[in-house]
Amino acid sequence: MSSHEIDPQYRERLRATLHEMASKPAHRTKTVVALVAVLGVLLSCVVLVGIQPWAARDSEVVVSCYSLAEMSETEPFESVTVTRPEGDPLSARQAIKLCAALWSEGVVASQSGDVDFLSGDVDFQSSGGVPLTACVTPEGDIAVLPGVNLVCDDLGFHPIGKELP
Amino acid sequence: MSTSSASETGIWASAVLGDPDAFAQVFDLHHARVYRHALRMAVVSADAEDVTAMVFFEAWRKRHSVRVVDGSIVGWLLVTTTNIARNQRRALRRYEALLLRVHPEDVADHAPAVLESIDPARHEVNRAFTQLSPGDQQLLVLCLVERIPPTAVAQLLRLRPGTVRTRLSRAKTRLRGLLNDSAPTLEEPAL
Repeated sequence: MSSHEIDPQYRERLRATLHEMASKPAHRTKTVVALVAVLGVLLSCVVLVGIQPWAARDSEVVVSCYSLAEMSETEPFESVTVTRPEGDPLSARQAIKLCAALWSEGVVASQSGDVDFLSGDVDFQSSGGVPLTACVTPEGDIAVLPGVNLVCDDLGFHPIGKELP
Repeated sequence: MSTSSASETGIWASAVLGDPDAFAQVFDLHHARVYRHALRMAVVSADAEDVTAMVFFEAWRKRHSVRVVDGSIVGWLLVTTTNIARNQRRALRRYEALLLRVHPEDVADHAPAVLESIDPARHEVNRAFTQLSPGDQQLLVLCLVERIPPTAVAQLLRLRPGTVRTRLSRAKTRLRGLLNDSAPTLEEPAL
């Protein structure tokens, strides 16, 4: 067997497993749950923006949602300013969900309903669609783009860890 | 569209509709390329086998949104291979139970054979390749190694074709620079 070929025993077992997997009836969990979750995130962001003006110390974070993983030729289709209390930064997941909601609504791109609300480092918990990635621009703003986490490097941005600054 | 891509489109459509034989056919068509790409990313063949398995598990799970480009899903499979290889631990958690069913009882260690098969020139190219950014690596593999047209790669990565060409050119320049630093006689990447 060549070292560049999959082990025949492994291949046959994998093939049989795939065949069996595809034989089972589909259990489709509908996107309703995801949509409700996204709407919840949107609502909480709106509430945060609404109640923060009288908070003692807070900070504003600009989240720009892009339809293409490019900066030079495309302006963000939509930017959202989110006010957060100091010490409670916006998480990468929240930023991504915010933009994913705009995608779903057709505000950012036309592929409504084909968006995967994933975290930047490829979260395998969602089904189907395009992964989105949150990066920090040199200006300190948040850019959410289609693609996996390496798009941040490609564009000269910093990938975001668990929390945004 | 060629006859083979036309037929692959039909096979994939049947698989999506729940035909297990069709899904197995898709596996037969592409497992070798996926495995070779996984081997490139994972180095150890046992890891590459698991990555290959997870790519097809993922293809089944996301079958309704897999991108068919030029009549084939191979590009989607290769991009997914890259992503899974880079996020292997997380993917392993998801598919742990399925992988246990696939693993043979006696797992041979193929690493020595892989290492033996690496000649010095290839080793230099691999060394230079691993120094590139993940984005550069992905573009070089898709466009040069797997010979997927830049327009199709652009569709897969959701970039403009011009951007793919520009980034590919830069990646080639960077790879050439890295190779020239260590082995001035090497001109063409032999990944």
